[in-house]
Amino acid sequence: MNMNYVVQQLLNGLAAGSIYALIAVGYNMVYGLLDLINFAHGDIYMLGTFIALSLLWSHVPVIPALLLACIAGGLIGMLVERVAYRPVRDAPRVVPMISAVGAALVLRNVAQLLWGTETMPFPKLFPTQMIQVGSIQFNSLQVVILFLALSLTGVFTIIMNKTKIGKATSSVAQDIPAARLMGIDVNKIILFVYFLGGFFGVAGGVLFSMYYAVWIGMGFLGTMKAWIACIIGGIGSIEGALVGGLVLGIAEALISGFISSAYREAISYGLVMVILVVAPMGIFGRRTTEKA
Amino acid sequence: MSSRWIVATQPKRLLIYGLGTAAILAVPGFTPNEYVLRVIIAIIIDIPLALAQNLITGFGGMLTLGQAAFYGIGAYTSALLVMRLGVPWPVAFLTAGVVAGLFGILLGVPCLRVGSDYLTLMTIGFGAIFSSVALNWMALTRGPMGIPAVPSPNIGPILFNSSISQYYLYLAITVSLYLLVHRLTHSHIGRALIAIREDELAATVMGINLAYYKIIAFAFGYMLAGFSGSMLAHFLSFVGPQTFGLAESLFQMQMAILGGLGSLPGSVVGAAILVSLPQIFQSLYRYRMLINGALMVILMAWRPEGIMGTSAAAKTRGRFLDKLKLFGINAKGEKNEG
Repeated sequence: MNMNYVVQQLLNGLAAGSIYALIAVGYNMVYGLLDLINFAHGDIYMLGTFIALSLLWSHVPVIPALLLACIAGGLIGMLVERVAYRPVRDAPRVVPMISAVGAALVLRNVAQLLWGTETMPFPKLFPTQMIQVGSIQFNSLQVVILFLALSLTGVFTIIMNKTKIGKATSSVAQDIPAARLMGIDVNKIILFVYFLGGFFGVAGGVLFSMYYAVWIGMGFLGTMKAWIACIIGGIGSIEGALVGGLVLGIAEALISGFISSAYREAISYGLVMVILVVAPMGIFGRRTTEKA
Repeated sequence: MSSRWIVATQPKRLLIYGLGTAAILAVPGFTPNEYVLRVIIAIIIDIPLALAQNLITGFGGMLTLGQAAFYGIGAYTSALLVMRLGVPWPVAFLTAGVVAGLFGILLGVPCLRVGSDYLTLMTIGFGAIFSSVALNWMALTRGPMGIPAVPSPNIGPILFNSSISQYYLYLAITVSLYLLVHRLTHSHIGRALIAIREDELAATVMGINLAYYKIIAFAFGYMLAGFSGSMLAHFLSFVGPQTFGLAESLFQMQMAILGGLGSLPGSVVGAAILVSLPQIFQSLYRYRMLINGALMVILMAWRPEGIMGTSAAAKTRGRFLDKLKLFGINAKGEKNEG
């Protein structure tokens, strides 16, 4: 077997995986906080990525455009929480999940009305070139994506661990009534987490689109990748999302490189199903939030 | 025994049921054109799908999002048996249900080991695997080209090749399936499933075998989906992989939710509304997902039990009423004394 080919696939997997990780980070926080599958997460970042695209098309400079799109994504996340999730937060489990699916459908339809159903390329924000190291070739875009995704995940970690609001979030994740007794405004914290999820989700979405393309379906795709990454890495933790995302990306690259690219999705879903049955708490992580 | 079937004993009820039956049988005489009749047949085909989702989610409390795969398994099984092996249609139809039911058991067994939201992921995964196989296994499914020219159903020499004849055939099938589900949900199996939905731990303590009843729900529900798939294949005379994706699973879930989780007449109403609405308001086609999605969010917040539902998520309503009581307001909106 050609060693270069293996390394090449690993690099592809790392780049894709780091994007998955960035998308999964915000998703995992909500998952850990409320034990809720945020079905709309992917569609929030899809919408944000389209907003970035429109801003760039109308010649807004790159940095403000991306920042505005991320903020828009965060605000959409807050809106979805307020309208679709908060009213059913105390209902039996199936109810908020269905509400989340409904919210996802609404967002997808909005994007479809505004931007159509075609797959579009994302504008190149910086020149890319092939880099040759020894006999291995890779795209500079992959390196930039890997770097950006990892550093943004780092920023997210710092927000969660070092700031006051981040610490308040951890306490809400551990015990909502106790956090409330300590004077933490739980609703505010939850909105904050949804904002962060949307914000970093859009960042991941923009990287995703630079690597692949922009289309309506990338939302649901991202939701599933984030969900699977969290399950592999462990629910509720940033490291879990990071590890899970990277493992998922590399596994997918290896599957399509060595087994079958047509059956890539099927095989990776099959693997996840096996993982769920054999190790329901994830391979690397454990459930970091325990709720009665 | 007989009281558990839908029976009309009082004369007034007998009259209502009689008139209802006559009206349903007379439908083809009143449809303005073939197109309307075909929409009605589409509703009849979708009713078992709504019932199946209702059985699994409404009664069993398991949120599955992969039912379209079993619909597809039924459609492909039936079409391929008739076309490749020359199997008579009734046999192909029954086999379609049985095969889909067996796959239901195959998925249900590993699902027993996982918790609620992982179960949803397992079923989404199964759906994705089915789509992938249907799309890529060229030798069996002809991939994206699909299987055209699936023959109309026939029982011996009787060929059901007109829309009117298919209406009566499929009506008979769907009514039988409805009665079967009605019987099932009103038996100890239905009661056990409701008990499991309400509280798994309590159900176990009462001696209910969780695994057994959940598998029954999967097998039986997905058998119904398989029957629907067979009906669809011979109605459209085409089977293609695009029909059985996640969007279709979501649609089937929406039919069960709109009508009311836990209510069988609700599933009929849900199927009728969601199948016919896009046909009536064709100009709103572009807003289909928006309307359906908003409907799901609104229903979950204000009436999680759906249009006809009774108890599926009555807990939320109870809580809402309790909250009102905290403010000294009773259920009728009047201020309490003291």
